[in-house]
Amino acid sequence: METQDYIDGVLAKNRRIVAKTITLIESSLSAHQEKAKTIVDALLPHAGKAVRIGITGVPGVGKSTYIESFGLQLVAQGHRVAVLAVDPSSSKSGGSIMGDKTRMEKLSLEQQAFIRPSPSGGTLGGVARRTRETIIVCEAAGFDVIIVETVGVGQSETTVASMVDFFLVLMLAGAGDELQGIKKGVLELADAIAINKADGNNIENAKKARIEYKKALNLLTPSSKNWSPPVLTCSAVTMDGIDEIWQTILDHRKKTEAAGELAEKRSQQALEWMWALVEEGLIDRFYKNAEIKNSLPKIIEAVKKGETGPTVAAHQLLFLNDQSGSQSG
Amino acid sequence: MQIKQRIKRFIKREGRRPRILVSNMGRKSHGQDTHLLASLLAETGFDVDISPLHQTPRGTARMAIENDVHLICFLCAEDNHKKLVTDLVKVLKAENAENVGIIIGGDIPPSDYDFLYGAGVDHILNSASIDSQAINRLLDLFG
Repeated sequence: METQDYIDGVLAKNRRIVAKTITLIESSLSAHQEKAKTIVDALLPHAGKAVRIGITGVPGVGKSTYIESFGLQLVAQGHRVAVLAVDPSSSKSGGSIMGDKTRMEKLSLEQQAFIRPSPSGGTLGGVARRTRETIIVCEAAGFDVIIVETVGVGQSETTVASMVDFFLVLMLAGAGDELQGIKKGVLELADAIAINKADGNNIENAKKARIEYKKALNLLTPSSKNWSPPVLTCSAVTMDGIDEIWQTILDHRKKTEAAGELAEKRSQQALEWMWALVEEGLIDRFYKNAEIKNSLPKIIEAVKKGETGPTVAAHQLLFLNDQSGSQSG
Repeated sequence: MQIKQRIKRFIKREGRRPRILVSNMGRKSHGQDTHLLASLLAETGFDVDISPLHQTPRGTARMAIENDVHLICFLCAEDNHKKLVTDLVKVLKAENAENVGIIIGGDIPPSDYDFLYGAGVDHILNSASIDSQAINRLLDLFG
């Protein structure tokens, strides 16, 4: 397929071509990446209108089940929903198991939904490396709610928070050590916390946990002047509280939009995107540099044996990088 | 060549790992077996998608297209594997996705092999499990 076929296919909302474009974006081949850049560039003017939501939580909190209920409700209201899920790859084999859809039985069959799990991969930049581009593609394909799902255990939250408008953290009640279960850093990113599985015997516990989290959030300085993150309860099984969360997201949008904060956030995110690409490009150039490729095994060996100190070795490598950089420039 | 090296070579050529959808088609599904199969494939270095239970051929094809997998693998627990395969091939073709490979396993009588290969199956696993020989067969499909 030619570049233009991808662009036309995405704009025509062709499911297969949207999927193929995401594959191209995630590819590690530079030829694919070049093509992907041109496509994303052409799609950019058609993107930007969706509500972008990040959802995180520790494994077992019920993210996928929550997204199934939440997504089905949005589809019923006439929205087109794209779910992008980042699944951790095994550091040993490099392979991954992407089972999110096993818990999104109905949403995965909805005509107005698109669910794409992606392996976090062992490649440069790691987690969610390409999710920004994928968001653009989905928006250009007419999806007006984008949900980015991550596992709440790594550094991926910060990356995901830097590409969405609203960051929702799902929690569980009843474990007793709620606050230790998740890093403080993740709470700081939250635009709302929702205590999931607030059903049956768990309702009382959820209410108690809600008070605890409210106290915890009060101790943090809010990152926005126009919004203080609420703590909600919900159940993906009984559907209680699911609509309340969507109303909260809309309310957040209204307030931040009116205050100019949303526009400011998006332009800040554009800058972060640029820097992320610059960093990635620098690392890529470093490893592709012929001089460095030549010397790297020797330098690594010397550091291993203790003949060269790590600081000296780092300087040597950066010097090689500078030198060839000034030659070609 | 070792499987690890073959996968490495695949990534270098394709820009990503071989991606396979392990699907649960039909009313009676091999729930446990598909999870075991998925784990074995992931440990070998595949990116593995798992479908919800009780998928139809249409649902499986859609998921294969949306996740852009190279292969679909499903285990048969009932006697309807011929129909499932024929339907799956038909839907994939209708969606311009006939290049997605099809692997089936489970309780398949050898007398059905010819029919299944003729209908578009690329490989038949002779048990619900998978060994290195079978993995090599799958990698052979990519040339």
